[in-house]
Amino acid sequence: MNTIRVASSPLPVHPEPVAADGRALLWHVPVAVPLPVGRVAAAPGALGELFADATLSDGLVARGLVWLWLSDGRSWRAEGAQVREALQAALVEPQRWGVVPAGAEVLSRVTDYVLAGTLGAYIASHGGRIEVSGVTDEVVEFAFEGACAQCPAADDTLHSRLESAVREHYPALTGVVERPSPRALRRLLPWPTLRRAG
Amino acid sequence: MSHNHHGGATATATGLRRFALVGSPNSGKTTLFNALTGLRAKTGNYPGVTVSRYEGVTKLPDGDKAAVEDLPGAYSLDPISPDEDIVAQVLDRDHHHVPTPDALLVTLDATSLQRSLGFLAHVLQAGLPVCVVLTFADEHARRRGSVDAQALERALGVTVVTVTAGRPDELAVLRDAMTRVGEWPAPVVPPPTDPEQVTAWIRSVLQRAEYTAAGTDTRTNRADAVLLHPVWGTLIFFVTMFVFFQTVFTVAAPLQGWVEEGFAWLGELARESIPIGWLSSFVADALIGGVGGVLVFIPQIALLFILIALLEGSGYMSRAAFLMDRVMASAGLEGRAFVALLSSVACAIPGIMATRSLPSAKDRIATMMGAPLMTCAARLPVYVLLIGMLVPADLRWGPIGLQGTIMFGLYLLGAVAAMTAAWVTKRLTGRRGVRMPFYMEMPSYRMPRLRSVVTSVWDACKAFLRKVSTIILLTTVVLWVALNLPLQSTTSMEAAGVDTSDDAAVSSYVLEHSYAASAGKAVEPVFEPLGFDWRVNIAVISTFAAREVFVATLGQIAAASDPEDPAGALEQMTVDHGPNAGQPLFTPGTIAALMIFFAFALQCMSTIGTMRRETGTWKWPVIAWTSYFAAAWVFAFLTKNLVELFL
Amino acid sequence: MTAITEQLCARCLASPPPEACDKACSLADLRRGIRGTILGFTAELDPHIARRLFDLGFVPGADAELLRKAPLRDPLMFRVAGTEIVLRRHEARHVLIAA
Repeated sequence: MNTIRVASSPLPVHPEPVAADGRALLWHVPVAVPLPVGRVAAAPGALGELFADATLSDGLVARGLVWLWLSDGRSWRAEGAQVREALQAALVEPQRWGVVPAGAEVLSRVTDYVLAGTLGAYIASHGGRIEVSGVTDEVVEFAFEGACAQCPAADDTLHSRLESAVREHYPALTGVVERPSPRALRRLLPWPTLRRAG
Repeated sequence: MSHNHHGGATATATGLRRFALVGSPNSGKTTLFNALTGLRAKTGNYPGVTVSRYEGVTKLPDGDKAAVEDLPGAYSLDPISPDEDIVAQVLDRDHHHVPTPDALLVTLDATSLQRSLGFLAHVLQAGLPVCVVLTFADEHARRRGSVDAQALERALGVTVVTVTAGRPDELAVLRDAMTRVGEWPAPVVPPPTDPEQVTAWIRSVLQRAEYTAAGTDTRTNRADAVLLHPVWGTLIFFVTMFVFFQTVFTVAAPLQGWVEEGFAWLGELARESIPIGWLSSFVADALIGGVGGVLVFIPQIALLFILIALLEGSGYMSRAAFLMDRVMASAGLEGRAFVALLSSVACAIPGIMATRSLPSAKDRIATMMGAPLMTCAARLPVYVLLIGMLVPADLRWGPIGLQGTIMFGLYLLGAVAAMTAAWVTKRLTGRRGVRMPFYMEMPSYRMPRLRSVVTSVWDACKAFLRKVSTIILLTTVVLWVALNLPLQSTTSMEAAGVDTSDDAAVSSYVLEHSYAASAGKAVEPVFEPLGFDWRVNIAVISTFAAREVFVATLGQIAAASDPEDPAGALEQMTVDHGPNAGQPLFTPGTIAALMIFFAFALQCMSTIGTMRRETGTWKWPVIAWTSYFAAAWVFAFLTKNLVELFL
Repeated sequence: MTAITEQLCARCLASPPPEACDKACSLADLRRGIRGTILGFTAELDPHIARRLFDLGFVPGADAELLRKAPLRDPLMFRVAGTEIVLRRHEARHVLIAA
């Protein structure tokens, strides 16, 4: 679609559910909007009011992704349209958002999101799995499981794909690190393995 | 993902889960319906409207069957036509006169996802369990577009199944999803309906689904450069229509001939085997003749619908409508009405049935009102006979034969009359409501699917047989009674001086003393100004079953030795009473009046029956019958006097 | 009217401001092969028809291209939202595009 847009036309956003959490919704927003990364402390306009009047109880922000939690007793069916419009208005002024650092939590969610998405589906279709074993403010530690454990391509291709996918939403990512696994050790030291005969 | 909160698909009282296919026209919905239900679809109309209803049954992997309904194609639930109105009503649980299905299968065309998602946004407001069926993904890929169906599924919050025509394994995935309808996810927040908001939503969803729009379809583009070229395109169009038309005559006609011969043979068999005179005639002429009179239409209907299905399925029909729209618009119709009217030149019955393709109900009715006035094949024998009596074969204006010119003129008259009638009907019905704008989607050129063609033909023939055959049979029986009763015994005939060994004389006598003759004499005052006498009236009455019967009936009345070519005998006929007694009956004025009468009068009961079936009411056939008879009378009267003025 | 229909009929398709309308041309003014960005619909257009055109893909912000004209210059074939749609001049006149 064309980029000409009248000033008032709303930004493209859409919600997706969050696994096992009925009060949360992950809102996809344009990745280009320079949102600060962290837990929501203050938000401009109607969105800020929704936090103030306790409609929304919590929010996490990353690039292109905004997790919002409704307070108890509210339903997304009822509040969804209002939240959408408030979010769209607030996105026009990313500089007026205030966040407190919540790096690891955000990074963890971003990684879960990436692994639940296209990349995860690709890996699963080859019989593999990526397990996240640790998350800090800047680093994700993971392990290859399943078919990935034996796959030679796993190391480079998936590693860089995972890294760039996560970094797209979390610019402060330093890197993704593979947890040293028995597999890695086996490659360094050709330990004789016991094999059952027959 | 969240699960839908609406109880899933509860089995209906009959034990069948009910699915409905929803989608825009051209989204592959009907192809999918045919693939799911085969030829087992049942058709009828939705209550109170002239919108066809298609329902079938499909077998699911868990052994159960499910009912599948193919809803009319719709672009929006903000309806602009009765078809879309029905879709909105079916999806609304509060509308009780049309049952709401348990779950929906929404077909979205991958090549036009940007627009299709807008419709999905409407459908999702209904709160019914929804599964998206992504169609034409193969074409999308061929045109260098791409879409991630699983990402689309996550973005929309509903199940997305990709289905390509001709891939049964994908159909199995769909059936599998249909079995698990109770687990279908539903969006947590329904999409917005505000125009700006929904545009933003669509952008976001497409971005998430990594959607790249398909490039232009070069194959279609190149074909259209020729087929829609102002000069070449129009030329090719006329040639195509001519071929279409000729095919019907050259292929259907022999088939119809076989049917007629077959039933004539059966009739002869009946006549020979049944000893009782009147009974054998009844069985042979009324019953067997009647059934034959029904089945004789089938080759024509079948062939026309095969051709129409091929045109429609390949995508050429839209091109034809595009080229003809301007011309049709002058009669208040639209381009798609052209094919229906053209089909009527073979026979009005398939032409009337072909109006189903028109989205506007008012256009359908207007076209149906015009169809019987097109010069149909049944009028041809009548015209041939009358022109032959009016004008000698060798009369020419330079290189152009007069007989051919008159024939052409009659065809033209039919076309003009049809367009005028359509225009008048449109004006009369079009005053209420918003004038429906003309718009039409141009699909890519595609290979017509055999199954769709077969289903379309089967559907048309079944509908015709079920509803129209009763009327035709009834008419045949009634006419038999009118033309053959009261029975004349041999003794009474001999007493009247009739040579009972001469079949022609006998049939002439029977006819002249039949109920039809009494009727003919009774209406004589009405037709006298046209120059018709009671014997001509009998023949006109006989055309209620079929127009071509006119020639044979006249032949019988004239006691012609060869009833199929009675011209000679007819020219000998003289007026038997009144001021002109002794003068030839078939004067130029009368002949011309008869021709014009046939051009307008709607005698054909089969046509009336079909109109009744397609409009769902007697109102329109009755209006057509009465107004066309009146017009026929007036124009025949004017013609008679004009001809007598100049000759 | 069903509940959904009522909701959809209440949709309001704002026309562009009068100044923009004066300078804008319509779909009927496009030449073959030329693309234009849709601004909106004229105020004279019946709202029902405007909503229908919107649902067909003639969305403010979208591009529309004139592909062909019929032999008698009417109707017109446009490419919009990934599909090819035929409109008569009568309706095309009411869809404004950026000059």
